[in-house]
Amino acid sequence: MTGKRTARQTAVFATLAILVLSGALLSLYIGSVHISLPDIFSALLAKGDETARVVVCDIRLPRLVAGLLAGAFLSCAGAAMQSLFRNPLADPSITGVSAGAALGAVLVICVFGQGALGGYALQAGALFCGLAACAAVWFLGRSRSGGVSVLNILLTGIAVNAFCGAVVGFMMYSARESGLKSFVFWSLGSLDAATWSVLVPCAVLGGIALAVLYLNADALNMLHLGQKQAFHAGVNIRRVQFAAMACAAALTAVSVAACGIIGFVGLVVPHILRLASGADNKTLLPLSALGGAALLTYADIASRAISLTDAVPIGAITSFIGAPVFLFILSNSRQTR
Amino acid sequence: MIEAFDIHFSYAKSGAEILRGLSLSVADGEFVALLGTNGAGKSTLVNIISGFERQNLGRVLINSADTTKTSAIELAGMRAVLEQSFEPAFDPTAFELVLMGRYARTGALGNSDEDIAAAAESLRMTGLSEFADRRYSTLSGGEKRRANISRVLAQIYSDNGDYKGKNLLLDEPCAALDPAHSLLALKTAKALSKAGASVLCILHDPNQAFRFADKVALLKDGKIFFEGSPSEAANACMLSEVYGADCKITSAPDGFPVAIFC
Repeated sequence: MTGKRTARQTAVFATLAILVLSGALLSLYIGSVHISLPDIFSALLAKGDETARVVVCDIRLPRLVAGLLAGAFLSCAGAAMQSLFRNPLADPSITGVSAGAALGAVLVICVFGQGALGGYALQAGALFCGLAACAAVWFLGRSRSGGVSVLNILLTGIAVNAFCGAVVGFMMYSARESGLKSFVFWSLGSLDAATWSVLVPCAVLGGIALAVLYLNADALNMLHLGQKQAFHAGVNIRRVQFAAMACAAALTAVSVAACGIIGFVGLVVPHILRLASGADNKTLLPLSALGGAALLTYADIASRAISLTDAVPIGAITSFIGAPVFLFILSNSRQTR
Repeated sequence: MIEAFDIHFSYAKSGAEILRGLSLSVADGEFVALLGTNGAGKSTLVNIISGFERQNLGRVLINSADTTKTSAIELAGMRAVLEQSFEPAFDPTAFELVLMGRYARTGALGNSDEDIAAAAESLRMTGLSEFADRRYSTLSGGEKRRANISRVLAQIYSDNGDYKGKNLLLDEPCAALDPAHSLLALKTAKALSKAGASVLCILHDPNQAFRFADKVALLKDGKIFFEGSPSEAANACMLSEVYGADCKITSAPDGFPVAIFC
C-alpha cells in the first residue's frame, strides 16, 4: 500500500487490458452471421451495410457491453465484500442482494407475465428487491449495541439468501413450463436479454457505485486491520462499512437486473488478482474490473461457441472454467507460502 | 493530555459492572503505568479512553476535546493506540502495516514521501528495518508486536521531535517481547513522554512500571485503588493485596525497587 505501482502490477494491468480488448473483438466477430473485421469496425462507426450495422450494434455490442459491465461490477463488489468482511471467501451474494434481486424479477414476471422480460419493470423490481434484501441483512445483522458485527451480517445474509431462493423456487414450481426458462435465466445468468434500454441505466448506476467505492479504497484497506484498529488509525468505521455495503449491493443488483445471477465471478476474480498483485484496493479495484470484464467476455464467447442458437447459461460457464482455475491457483499459492 | 472522569462500564450481556466511577489523568510529558490483575478492566479502560467504546457513563477528554464529540480522524491525529495482539487480513508486509498507521495523514494522492520516511524511521525505532518487506504471517510473535508498535509510532510521528499534544495508549507493549526488546519498547515510549507526549501504558510487570513510569496507577474493583509515584507504589503490603499473591520488595543494584512475588 505504498501508493506506487510495482512492475508486477503494471504487467498484470497490461495483460488484463489486452485480454479485454481481444475478447471484445472476438465477441463482436463470432455469430451465426459472418461479418468481416473491417465491416465490424465500419458498423461500429455507423457506416457500411445496414444488416451488419443492426447485427453488430443492436445484437452483438449490447451483449458484449452487458458482459463487460456485469463482470466489472460483480468483481469489484466481490473485492469490496472481501475487504469489508476481512475474508477471501466473501462474495456479493453474501449480502442477500442477488437472491433478493432474482426474487424481485420473478415476482414481476408472475404479476406482469412473460412480456415483462427485458422491460423496465423487471429491472426495477430486481433492483428494488435486491437492495431491500441487502438492507434487511444490514439491519437484522447489526448487533444489539448498534455496532456492525461481521459474523452477524454473514449469517443473516445466508438466511436471507436461502429464504429468497426458496420463494423463487416455489413461484417457479407454480409457474410450470413457461417459468422454467426464466428460472434458468435468473439462477444461472444470461446475456440474452441485454438491450441498450436496460444497459444504459445499469451502467450509470453501477458507474456511480464504482466511483464511490474507489474513493473509499484507502479506508477499505484499513478495515483489513480490524474494526478497532482501523478506528484508532482514524477511519470512520460506520461510514466506510455502509458505503462498501451499499456500493457492493448496488453493483450486484444492477448486474443481476441486467444479466441474472452469474456466480463465482465476484468470488474468484478479486481473489486471484489479490494473489497476483497485492491486497491494496487502490490497485485491486481497477484490476478486478478488468479481470471480471475479461472473464465474462470469454465465458460468453465459450457459451456461444458451444451452441450458437441457444447459448449455454453463462453462469454455468463461469463456474465450470472458474472453479478448476481457482483450485489450481489456490494449491500453487499454498506451496509458495 | 488525557483526562477521564467518573468512568462506568458494564458488559451488555452479563450486566457485570467492570469499571465503577474511575477517574484518571495523564499530563503532557507524563508516563503513567496502569497495573492490575487479568480481567481488572485495563484494556476496557484503554478502549474507552481511545473513544472506540462509547457505551459508558462519564467523560473522556483528549487534549480537552470530548472523545464522543470528536471525529475518528481528528482523534487519530491526537492519539495512537497499541491494541492487544491481532491478525490483519490478507497478510500485509511489515512496511505496509506500518504505513497503515499513517492513514489519518495520508491525502487523496496516496502516501507522501513524508509518510514513507515516518514509516521507515518507526521500523528502525523497534529494530525491524531489515524485516520491512517480510509478510506479517512470517514474523514471530515478538516481531509482530514490534511491527505494531512501529505502526503506532508512525501514526503520531513528529519529524521535528516535538511530541507535545500527542497521546499514546499502550496495551501491554511488552507482551511476547524478549527482555532486550521490552527495554527498547519502554525506552522509546519514555523518550516520547520526555519529548512532550502523554503516555498511558498497561504493564504486567510492576518492576517495569517502577523503572519507567512517572506515576503508577493500580486498578482494582473497577476503581483506581492507588495512584502515586513508583517509590510509593513499591509497597509490599499493597501489591500483595492487589495481585492476591505474596509480595516482597527489594532493590536493584541501581537503586530501583524490585517486587518479587512468591
